[in-house]
Amino acid sequence: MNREPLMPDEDVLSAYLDGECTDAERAWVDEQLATSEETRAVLAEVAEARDAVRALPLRDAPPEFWARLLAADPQPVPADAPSVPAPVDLAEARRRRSPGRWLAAAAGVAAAAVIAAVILVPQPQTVTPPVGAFTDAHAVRSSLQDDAVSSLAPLAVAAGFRR
Amino acid sequence: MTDGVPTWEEVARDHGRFMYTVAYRLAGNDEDAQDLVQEALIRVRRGLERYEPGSLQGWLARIVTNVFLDEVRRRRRRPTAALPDDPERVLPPSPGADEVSTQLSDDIQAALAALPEEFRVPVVLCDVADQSYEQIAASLGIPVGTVRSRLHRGRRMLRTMLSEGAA
Repeated sequence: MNREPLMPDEDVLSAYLDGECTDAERAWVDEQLATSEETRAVLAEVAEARDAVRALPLRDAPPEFWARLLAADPQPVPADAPSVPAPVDLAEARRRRSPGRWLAAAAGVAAAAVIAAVILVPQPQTVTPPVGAFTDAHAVRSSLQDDAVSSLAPLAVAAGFRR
Repeated sequence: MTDGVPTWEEVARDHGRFMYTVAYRLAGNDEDAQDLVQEALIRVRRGLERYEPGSLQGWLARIVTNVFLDEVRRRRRRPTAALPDDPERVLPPSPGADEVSTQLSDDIQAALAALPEEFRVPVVLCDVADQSYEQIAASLGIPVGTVRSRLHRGRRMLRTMLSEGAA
């Protein structure tokens, strides 16, 4: 019994571009491209969008970002530190990161900029500041100070780290 | 690095820019991208002990994506904060006659940011983070066929927005 071949969904064209389709799908697309102007047009459009995104440059964080990340004072982690911080409002948290707060830490940030440059730019010598202590201290302090971002931390660790 | 497992410092130094790029393409602005990377690095630090050597960038992209999706869900529960795909957050690019390349990147970024999150995430993971469909499906907890469909639709929407913007 002769039967018309099932036409794959149009999304096979993206899979074709990405090398993610089956051999049968690839053969079907090749056949369509040889005979169908519409298929060629759609493929060209999808390829244009794909190439445009792939051509986007790497994005650099503002220079002060890495310095700020390392600027927190390392503090001992309290034994009774809460493991699940209470949810907070991000807008409020951002207000707390207002210029006034950063002005007070300006000297520390400037010093940390030097540290960040040493750490983030490849160096012939290995520099290992106590970043772990910084981040632990940040996580705990943030949870105690209602930092919105850190409040999310415990929610997805298990989902994110296990394949 | 011990037994193929990088230190936190090595991750930040060698892959911080990659993480920031993925975060920025997902979030659409620097402020949110900084929050995402900061949180992602905290999770990286916590998870390094359990990291099994493999595709480090895939693992990092997955963590950044999880942080982003958590934040999107959180903001949906608190509608007073703008969502990353809120059209008002997609600012028109600043015109600059001598910055054609930057202008083009801005146009693409604006179109990307205007995509609904369900389409933007697969596009970013595939075309920015260079993840396979299988990896994207695992990250998002959806079937590979859904990844394929959303990716294709996202690209078609992007193409439409870019052509309309150029018109």
